[in-house]
Amino acid sequence: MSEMNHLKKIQHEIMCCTGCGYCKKACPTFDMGGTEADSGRGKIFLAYGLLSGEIEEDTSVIQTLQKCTLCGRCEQDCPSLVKISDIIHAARKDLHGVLPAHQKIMDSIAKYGNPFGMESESRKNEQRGVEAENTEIAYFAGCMENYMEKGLKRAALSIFEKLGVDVAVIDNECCGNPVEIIGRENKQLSKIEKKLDDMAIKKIIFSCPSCMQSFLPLNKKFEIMHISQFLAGMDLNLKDAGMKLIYHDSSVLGRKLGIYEEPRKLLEMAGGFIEFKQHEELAQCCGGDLAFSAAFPDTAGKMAERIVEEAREKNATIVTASPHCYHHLKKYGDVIDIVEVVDRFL
Amino acid sequence: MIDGAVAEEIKGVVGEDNIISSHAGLYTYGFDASIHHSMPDIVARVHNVEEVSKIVRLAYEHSIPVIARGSGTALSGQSVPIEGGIVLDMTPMKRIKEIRVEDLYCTVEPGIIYGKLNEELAKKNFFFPPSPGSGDVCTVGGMVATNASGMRAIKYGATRDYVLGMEVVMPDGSIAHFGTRTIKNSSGYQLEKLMVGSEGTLGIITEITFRIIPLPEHRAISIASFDSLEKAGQGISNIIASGLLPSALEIMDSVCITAVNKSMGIGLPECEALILAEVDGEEEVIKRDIKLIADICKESGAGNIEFTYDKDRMADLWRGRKGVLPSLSRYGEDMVSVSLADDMSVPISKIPVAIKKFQEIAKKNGILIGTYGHAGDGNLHTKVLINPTAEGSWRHAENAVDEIYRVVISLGGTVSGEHGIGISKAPWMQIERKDSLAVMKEIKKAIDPKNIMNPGKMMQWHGSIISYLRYPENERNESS
Ligand SMILES: Cc1cc2nc3c(=O)[nH]c(=O)nc-3n(C[C@H](O)[C@H](O)[C@H](O)COP(=O)(O)OP(=O)(O)OC[C@H]3O[C@@H](n4cnc5c(N)ncnc54)[C@H](O)[C@@H]3O)c2cc1C
Ligand code: SF4
Ligand code: SF4
Repeated sequence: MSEMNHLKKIQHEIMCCTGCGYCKKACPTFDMGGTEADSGRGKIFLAYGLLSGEIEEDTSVIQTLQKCTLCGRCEQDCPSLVKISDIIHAARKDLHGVLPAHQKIMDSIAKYGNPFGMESESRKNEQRGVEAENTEIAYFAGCMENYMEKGLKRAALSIFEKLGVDVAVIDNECCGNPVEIIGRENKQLSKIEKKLDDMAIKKIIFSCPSCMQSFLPLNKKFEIMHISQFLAGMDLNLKDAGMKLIYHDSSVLGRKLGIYEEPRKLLEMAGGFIEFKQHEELAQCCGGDLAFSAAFPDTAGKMAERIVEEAREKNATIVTASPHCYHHLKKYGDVIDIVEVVDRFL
Repeated sequence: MIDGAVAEEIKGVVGEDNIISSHAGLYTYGFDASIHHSMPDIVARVHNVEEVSKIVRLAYEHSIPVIARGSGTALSGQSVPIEGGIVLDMTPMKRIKEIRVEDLYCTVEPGIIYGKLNEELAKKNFFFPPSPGSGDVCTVGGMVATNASGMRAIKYGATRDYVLGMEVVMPDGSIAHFGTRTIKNSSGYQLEKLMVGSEGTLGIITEITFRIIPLPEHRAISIASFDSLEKAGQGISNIIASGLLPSALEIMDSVCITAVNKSMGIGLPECEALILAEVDGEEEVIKRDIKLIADICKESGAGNIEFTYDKDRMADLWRGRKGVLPSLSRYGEDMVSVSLADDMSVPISKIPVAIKKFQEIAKKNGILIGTYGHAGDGNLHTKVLINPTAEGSWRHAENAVDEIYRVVISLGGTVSGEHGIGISKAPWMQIERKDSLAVMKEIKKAIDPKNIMNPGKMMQWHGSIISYLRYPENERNESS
């Protein structure tokens, strides 16, 4: 049996859960599944069981602990301020087993440097930014922008070019976020850090909130920021988009990184936007996290449909500020990412 | 353990997708919001009365325990299957079958969440008033089975007062209808009321008809700060004695105030105790009454008094009040709140003396107790804060609980005003109701001769309540 070292470290946090069940109120996986195990509370109960040794790991335990987007929506309803997603994440770290879908992602990152099992050559783009030694600013393009949604990388680089900002493009390694989310050691970051150390980079800009989250441990060394923060800080003048836009807060960009205002500031410049019924801290997660949607495609699909449905009722196009949300939601409805909005209407 | 063939039959009734038999799934269904835990053998998510009836009949034939479960927010272990068996997850049965404002009733399935039902009723300017603190997550079936109530009980009463009729699957699987859809009914035994507070020990409720009433037009709240709990308690008694009927009259001590401010940032006035009073009704009446309440509080020694008609501020204050229980978990660095001795009721005039005694008991036993509650109807909540992993903490807590309940009983009170008995209050209910215990046991035996409905709880519980603990192993050993 595992030592449960990660859970032991936050034992007090786990004990603080009174079991009140308020965290069921708006948890998307509970909404879709409806069983105790689908809720944040159920997963904390499992953490109790693992800690006390009353249960041992098996496929159902792994499955339950992985069936959570770590979106943190439940924490908004918890009156005991329990860090629910941290507990679930810690429990994942104490597990030995991995779901097949997750093993595939991890193998792929180890072999190809991306989670999609694609040859690294296929990421090549015509725009490459400038040589690294000539700038202190880097743009980190994540795997989503490099392989699946190249248009977003193109849009980001086009914005930098239009604004005359020289950026070095870092796009040859996965940030390792999916591995971290799954609960395994992320060895990617130290690889990237070594490369960055050879350059003169002081600031790193991300269009992917998940990549940015992976870089948090390096935030003393580098200034790290989301592209919406960078752009909102510039004196931009956007043309009227002429369409009804509705902004979808990514759980990572919003609840995890606390970035709500900047994307809104940009959208206001583009002629105004509307809000989802639940927005900012209360925003609903779309299920687009890579590890989650790979292992639980049906639940992730239903989560996206809910969001698309509300946008459709309001006759609006969804604006994302995360390539993961973009890639996922686009399978169900009209979506544009914030980098595309800025690039198009600058 | 239940027989594999029986499990297959249950699967045949609800379908594979509605069966939970995995290790993780069963483990999570072994909890409620109490300190207890025990695993069921199988969980079936039921969708209609026929499914319930078939499964209960199987359970009856094979003498397997059956435990109905709503949202699992019970605080005393009522929904914990201590003898294993079949847990029936009632939450898929969540339809509103009828809302008839012209007849003042609604008929619903038991799995609907209280808050969701009221959202629908509000569209017709009606409501179902009991308002438990857990109303956004608990089911109405669970409310009936525990006779839940809340802050508005002082004016509107408890769930019991709104139950007109119901459909019940009896322990042998047969289907019975109790009560009526009429406001009045003197037609024989009031069996629907017998089911209220039965905690799943007499049958499975599959449909309920509730009386509903019009939503009040306006509300106002006043908050008065006091420099002692006794003065606040006296304030409560004075308000009641004045003949006013507030829609809520709450008390909170400094431990609770600090906890709520710390974890929810509501901005309650920091003081030794506060009274939160709500009045509802027509505009002129509430303006007059809220002023009268403020005057009485002042005469009773209140310092600062604030009142508000603002909907957002009122919602915030209620959110703060509802969050007291869980936010107490954040009071101390290594202490957490555990569900023990949480909802005793005393005659209203005895509140100040009860609170004082509780504090003495806490001090003596080296634990911390937060006191708050629906003081207007005599219902107090105390929250025991302990470090569940510290040596001796459970023993101290149990001693304190024992002393608290003995005080409550000696003051002419009851060990549970609203949350029910389950396991954690059973020994003291048995003391409080010693001369009706035999009748309760006879009723149970007559209705459930095979003792399969939520067995082992209430009058059937024996021994220390520090059993089936959900907390990790080291503490469990210490208590046994
Ligand atoms: C933070 C918090 C605040 C609370 N505040 C209050 C409050 O203010 N007032 C109050 O009264 N309670 C309160 N409670 C206690 C609890 O929420 C209530 O008792 C609630 O009514 C239980 O509903 P449930 O759906 O969670 O039931 P469960 O916990 O699932 O079940 C409770 C009992 O009812 C039985 N039961 C459930 N459904 C059925 C059915 N269909 N047929 C037969 N038996 C059934 C179960 O077997 C069990 O014995 C609070 C709890 C928490 C955690
Ligand atoms: S983090 Fe999100 S998905 Fe996970 S339990 Fe909380 S609300 Fe549910
Ligand atoms: S809301 Fe918080 S305290 Fe309540 S069950 Fe969920 S995690 Fe536990």
